[in-house]
Amino acid sequence: MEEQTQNNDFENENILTFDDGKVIEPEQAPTLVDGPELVVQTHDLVKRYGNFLAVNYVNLQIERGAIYGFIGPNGAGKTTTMRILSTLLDQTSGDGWVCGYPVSNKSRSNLKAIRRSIGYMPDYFGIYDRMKSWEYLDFFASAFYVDTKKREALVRDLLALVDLGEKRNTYIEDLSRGMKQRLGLARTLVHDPQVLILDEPASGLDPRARVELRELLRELARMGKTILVSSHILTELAEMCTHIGIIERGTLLAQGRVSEIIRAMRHNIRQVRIQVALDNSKTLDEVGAIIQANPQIQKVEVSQQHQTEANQFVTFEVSMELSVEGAESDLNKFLKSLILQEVNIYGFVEREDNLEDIFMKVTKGLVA
Amino acid sequence: MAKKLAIVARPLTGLWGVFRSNPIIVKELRGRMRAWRGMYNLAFYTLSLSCFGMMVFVAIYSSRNYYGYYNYNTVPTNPNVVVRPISSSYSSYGSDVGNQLLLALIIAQLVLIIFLSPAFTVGAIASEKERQTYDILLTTLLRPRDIVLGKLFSSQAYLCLMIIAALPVLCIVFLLGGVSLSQMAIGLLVLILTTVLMGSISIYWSAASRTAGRAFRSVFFLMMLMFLAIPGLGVLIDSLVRNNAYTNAYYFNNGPPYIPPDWLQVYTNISWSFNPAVAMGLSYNYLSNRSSDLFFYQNSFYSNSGTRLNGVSLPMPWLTFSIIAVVLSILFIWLATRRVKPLNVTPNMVKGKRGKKAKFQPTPYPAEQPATQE
Repeated sequence: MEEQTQNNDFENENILTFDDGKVIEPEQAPTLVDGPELVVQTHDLVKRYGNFLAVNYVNLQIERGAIYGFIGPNGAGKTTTMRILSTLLDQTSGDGWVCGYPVSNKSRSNLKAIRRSIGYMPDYFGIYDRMKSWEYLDFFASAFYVDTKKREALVRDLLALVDLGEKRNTYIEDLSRGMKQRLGLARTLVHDPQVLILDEPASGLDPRARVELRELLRELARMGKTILVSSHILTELAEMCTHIGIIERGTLLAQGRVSEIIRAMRHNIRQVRIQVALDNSKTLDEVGAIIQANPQIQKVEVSQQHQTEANQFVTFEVSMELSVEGAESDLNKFLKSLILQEVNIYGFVEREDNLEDIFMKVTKGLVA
Repeated sequence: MAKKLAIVARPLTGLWGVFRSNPIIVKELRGRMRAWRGMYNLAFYTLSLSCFGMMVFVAIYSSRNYYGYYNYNTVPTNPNVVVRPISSSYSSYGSDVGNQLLLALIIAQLVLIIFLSPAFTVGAIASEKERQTYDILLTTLLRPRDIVLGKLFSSQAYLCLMIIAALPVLCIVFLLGGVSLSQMAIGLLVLILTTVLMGSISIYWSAASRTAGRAFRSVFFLMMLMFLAIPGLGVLIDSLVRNNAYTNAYYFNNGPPYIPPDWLQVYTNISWSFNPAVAMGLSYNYLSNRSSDLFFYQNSFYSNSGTRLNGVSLPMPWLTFSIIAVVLSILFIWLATRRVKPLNVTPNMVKGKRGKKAKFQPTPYPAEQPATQE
């Protein structure tokens, strides 16, 4: 019993305490799907600016611990959605919930509860003049009423986390862009929020800074934070997101786990790259005819041809891109049929779709 | 006993706690007083005020030391003969200089403060918007009240420091004699209230405008209205009414001397008191030339034959100004807290010209339908 109490004490020390110490029970958000706990969700969220429909019935669902990539071209409604979730903008209709607190409820206690749950970083880095790195974090920690005694250690830890420990006493205006961005990220963490809402955090960063930021976000996800990160550059998100949501012209076109989306987007069509060696027995046209005779084949495209000479034999090598309809087992049958018809095949690779392909397929290019 | 004392002490410590725990105050004061700039500004202010005081003193002194009084109509023909004024309307030599110097210094400070207070305050919230830190600030747990009071307090604290630093310069007038402590006290009070009033107006426009430049323009126009237009209109109406009355009463009827109606006396008192410099000048004048109370004075008029006629008893202009300043300050601070809220930012693509309707944008999808999700 005593041991348990000590443990509790130890745990409590790690929890950030707030001066006013009010605890508000979250309202019950409607459960839209059965499954994992949703930390952030919106239900038919709409935002209009006059005649312009910025957000069109968006239903976001973000699981706990996910790194949710919010992808869309400029002006797609990403920032608007994020600002609504951050209580900076009123929605026209619909509702959103952050950790169970509805964003439509504008009572002071509810707003406080939401603001404690989120760490919001806008797509620009607002800096103050004549302010040192540690003062910046200290200011925001005090703005979240973090206990004065714990603030110094907190600032030190956060600076270490974002690898700015040595820049503690540097004026913010003297930091590089990447450092400022990391400092901004540390700023979102001062009150230990559950959800981070990061609007285009990697824009304008050089490749190294981008990699560092990505690692940092992964580290935060490992720490149990749910991260909603937006970008219009897919490669930024491709490697770190567990989930994505694709938005264009205010409409959420697809969302879910990256692998699920890839599967859904394929429409059962697989991209296969085969390499064939042509010898005297078969010409390219003959091979082409054999391949196209197969009903599963949707499209054939010769991508590369070259000849090699070795031991007085001249060999033509041809690479082809095929679109094959069917499941993986159908690919197997297709390969077998090629071998049975004595096609000299030495390469057969199914190409994985990446986010960029999905994005191009899903969006209609209406805005970009 | 301790409990009783605690009841008294708690509000005070609470007030101090509010200021001490307000992160904005700590941040702003740290930034403002960092390095030597704050000190240089302070030194420059005091030095320029001292120079001005010296100039005024020399001007007053040299204009009258030769003959000993103002009235050049009564300058004796022999300049070697110094004639002291005998009229009781002239007080003794030094006190007059002291009074005038004090008034000159306070008016100079008022002019400086009227421009410095907005300069220090107008950017407080608007610059957060320009620096794009406003949204970040609003997603913290700080209440609008904390932000407004914190920003206002930190800029006003520095200005009050300036006023206090200039206090020794003002106190030189005591060497000349004839200036009472109460005169000095009301001077300081009006100075501080003017600062707070200008600060409150500035913080309101700072919260209401998107840029500091726009906010400053608005403050400037309001300042012109309050300090020039309202008192000017008061003077105009007063003179129109009186002129009309004099014409009728004196020239045509040869009637009794005219005393303006009560409402006009009150209106004139209030409208003049909108300008702190005029209020101070009148207050000092009433205090030194008439045996007025510190808080009230008897409005009086003179008939053509020179008989004094009493009007209504009115609060001293400095008191009227103080009441106006306090009421307006509270009003503008309250309005400012209501203006501190997220900007409803319209995306650039639909932002029309200011005041015009946003350009029509076709809706992206034919009907506003919930998007079907796979």
